[in-house]
Amino acid sequence: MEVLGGLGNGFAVALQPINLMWCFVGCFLGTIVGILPGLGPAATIALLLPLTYGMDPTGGIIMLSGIYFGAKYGGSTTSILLNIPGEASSVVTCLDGHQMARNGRAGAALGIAAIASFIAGTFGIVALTVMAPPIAAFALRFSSPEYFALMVLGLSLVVVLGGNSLMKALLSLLVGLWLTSIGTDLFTSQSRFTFGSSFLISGIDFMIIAIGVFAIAGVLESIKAREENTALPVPGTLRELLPSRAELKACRFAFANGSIVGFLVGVLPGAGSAIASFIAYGIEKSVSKHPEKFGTGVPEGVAAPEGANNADSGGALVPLLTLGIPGGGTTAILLSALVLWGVKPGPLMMIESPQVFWGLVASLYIGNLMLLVLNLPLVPLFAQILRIPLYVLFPIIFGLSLVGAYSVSDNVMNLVLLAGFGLVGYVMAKLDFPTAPLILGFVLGDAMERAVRQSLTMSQGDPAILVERPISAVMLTLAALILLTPPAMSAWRRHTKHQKGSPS
Amino acid sequence: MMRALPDRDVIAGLALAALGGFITLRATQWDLMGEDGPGPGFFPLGYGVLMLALSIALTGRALLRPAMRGDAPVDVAGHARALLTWAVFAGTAVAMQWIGFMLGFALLSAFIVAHVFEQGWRRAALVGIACAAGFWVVFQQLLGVSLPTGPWGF
Amino acid sequence: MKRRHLIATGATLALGGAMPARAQAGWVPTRPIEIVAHNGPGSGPDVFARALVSTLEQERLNPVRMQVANRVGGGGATAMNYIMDKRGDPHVLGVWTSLWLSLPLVQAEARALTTDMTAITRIAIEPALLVVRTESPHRTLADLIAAARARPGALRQSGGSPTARDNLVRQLLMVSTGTRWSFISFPGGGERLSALLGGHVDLMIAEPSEAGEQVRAGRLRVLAQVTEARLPGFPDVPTLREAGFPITDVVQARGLVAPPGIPAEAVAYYQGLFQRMSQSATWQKYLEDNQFQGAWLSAADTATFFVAYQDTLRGILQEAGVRVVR
Repeated sequence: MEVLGGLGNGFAVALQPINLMWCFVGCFLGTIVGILPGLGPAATIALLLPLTYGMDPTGGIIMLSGIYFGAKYGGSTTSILLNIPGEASSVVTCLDGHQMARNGRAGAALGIAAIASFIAGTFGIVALTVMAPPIAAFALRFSSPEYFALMVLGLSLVVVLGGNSLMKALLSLLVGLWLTSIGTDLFTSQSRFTFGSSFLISGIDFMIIAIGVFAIAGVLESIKAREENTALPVPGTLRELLPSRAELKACRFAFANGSIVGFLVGVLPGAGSAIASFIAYGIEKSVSKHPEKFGTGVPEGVAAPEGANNADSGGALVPLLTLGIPGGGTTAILLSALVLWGVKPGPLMMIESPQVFWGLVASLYIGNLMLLVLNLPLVPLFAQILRIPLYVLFPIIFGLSLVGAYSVSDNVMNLVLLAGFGLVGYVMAKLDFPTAPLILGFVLGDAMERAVRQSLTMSQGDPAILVERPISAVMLTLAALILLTPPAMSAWRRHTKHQKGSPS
Repeated sequence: MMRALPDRDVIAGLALAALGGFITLRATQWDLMGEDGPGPGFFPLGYGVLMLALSIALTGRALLRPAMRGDAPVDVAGHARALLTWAVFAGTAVAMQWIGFMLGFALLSAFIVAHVFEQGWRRAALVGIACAAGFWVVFQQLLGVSLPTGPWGF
Repeated sequence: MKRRHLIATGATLALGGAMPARAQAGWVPTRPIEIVAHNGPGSGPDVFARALVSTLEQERLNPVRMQVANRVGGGGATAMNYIMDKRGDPHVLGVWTSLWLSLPLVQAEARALTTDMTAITRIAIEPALLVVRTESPHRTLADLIAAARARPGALRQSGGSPTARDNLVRQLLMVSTGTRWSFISFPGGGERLSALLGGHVDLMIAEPSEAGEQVRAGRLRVLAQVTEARLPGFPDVPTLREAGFPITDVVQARGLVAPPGIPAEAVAYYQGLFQRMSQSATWQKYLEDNQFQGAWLSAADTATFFVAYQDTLRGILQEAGVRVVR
């Protein structure tokens, strides 16, 4: 088969020592970039581009892709250990990942994140290898009405993520929707809710809200509760620092879930990886036997979003490599890198530059394996970070948050907003409002509004376009299923319990 | 005798109702429907009205609920500690544009060690300086990430 | 002793006599130069700025280190405000794009005016292509316009914000032909292109770097070029004027500005520097690879261009129904 032939040649290229070296350099850099706030993969790649001018394109793209994938692996580290989302797609990992750390299962969480990333990342690359052209063609059938349905699917998860009070979850969501509309309206250039401030014209960056509401508020809450221990629990033995068999077993569905959802969402240009991780998490929770435990530290709550954000990287390469269409952000820079080296990314790239294409794909397999090997042994090491006494750990968390916020754009206003959202998160926790729906609303609100307005313009005002197309109809049905599954499943269980007549 | 504080839900409900009202009002000042589809006011009006309605429902439900006697007493000292920490955090964050990241961070760290954890000023100074120096080496020197700088270059 | 002293004095006097002339022409940068881009790494102005720096380095034209600074925010206003705030500092430059001319017109909060800055040079113009899918029934621009006339509002164009070039060209075409078709804004180029390729919209006005590969692969057809003279890559495609639709030129240009109040010698220096750069082989290759057109203008001409083009923009925006605040 043509694919196997191409892949075989690709491995021949990727296994050359020089390309293996570039792969390692990229993976290593990417992991560091993902762990540390202040540097995102996009900025790092842009900074390294001038150094790669004279490079062989295959080696160059191998290295840059290593950074791209590596950052996703590293991003979960601070999310789990310190409740600081490393990048947008790691936000969901904070929910259960950090709770696992507080329960003394930090090593397990880190390990599961790495394993899920590996499994889903490999799945994404296999799918890219085997199905890239037909998937790309399928993705072209997605447009605004389908994006709308996807966002509805995402928003239906608020019910699942809501916790005790649906009313409060919805209010949280609505505040998130409002926050995301602050800025300039794309369609009319009208400023909305900017209060005359030139800074708010570009809107509020997602990371400021996420870091504020999670990391800062989390520290404030710990300070309020005055925990007696001076440090968080860290298990002593190596065995306890890695995921247990039971934990891995619980994640079986999550591995598949994250892989498929992440890849499919990644293929769509413009749908960010944060969306993929939210949807995977929501699906995981809604099919779980113990949904109420999500948010307290369940391993599948880490596996699903972490897998999704890695499979998303593989998915995003599909339109880039088969059509020359960048998904946005990092893939846009990868595109300009390819152009720089004289490779022409587009429908003809596979035919005209097969060694670059297949060399890259093959090295992604190798890179994924390298990242697993790099990250797993570091797990026990990283878990030791939690041994640091809280009176040093909390300043570090504050410091990392400030660096991360400032790096969005060199403006002290970002720090002010960060502090503001820290307070908002604290107040929300005290008033018993769930914060996840706020983040969800922020992530999806903008995209959903755009999708609706684009769709209605496409159909000249006919709202039927939102439901009549087959793909969007399927997703809307899925959303309905998600909304109905938890109550249905609990009703089913009550029914079967009642039938068996078991004493409760 | 301590007066019972208003139910949290009432406070939240009223605050959110105010926000919802504000959003709704602003939204009506923009175009709701253009010739090419919904205008910039369409969605804000939607979630503004929803926010208003839900928060009024929340407030109403809280007011109608019988007062709970068994509520845990409000931990004023804890809140005060947390909010003071927040104030120092916000204050140093703002001050960083004049005094630079390192000094602001050192002060923040020292405050946390000394006041929140009551470890004594010697340890506070040590932690403050160590953290700031560590960040300076890693972020400013090694990575070249730009941070707010004061007149002394860091 | 005395003779040496005399010779030294004599030499100093002689050189001193020659000095004044050299000092006037001799301004050179003495500190690293900061080149400001109004968007983040990987964006259009950022990539352009980095290309400028790298070309200067490769051609060994730069006497000091030049560094790109991303000043993101305010839709571009942050970078522009920064340039204004650096009044008198000749070691800061900004990469201006047409956005720097349209932004002050539509954003009330913007306080920096490009016409107040020191124009240094215009360097390149980005042409555009009016493209449709190859499966589209429209084979020429005239076909498309006729279809638009037959069904007003039915055709759809994907593009960016309403103040961007693609919408302005659309407005001018619609007004001059008396037709109407709708404009759908997408924030990213990838989404615009996939909307067109997937058949969800009917046309797009795209840059050659975006759409070129699709055209080469036979997925898109170019109906017209939005440019003065035909591009070398598209010798068989008529320009708008040649196709029978002459409209005002909507120029998507890029160049360099400096803060207001810098010495005239510095302006002359930079003008010369970027002129030499524009003529270099490395730069010519960059233009070719990215399908830009070289459009170098002197500092004085650039300043005139700013004023004239901003006036043109004002008119077009008002006709497009966009609210103009200045």
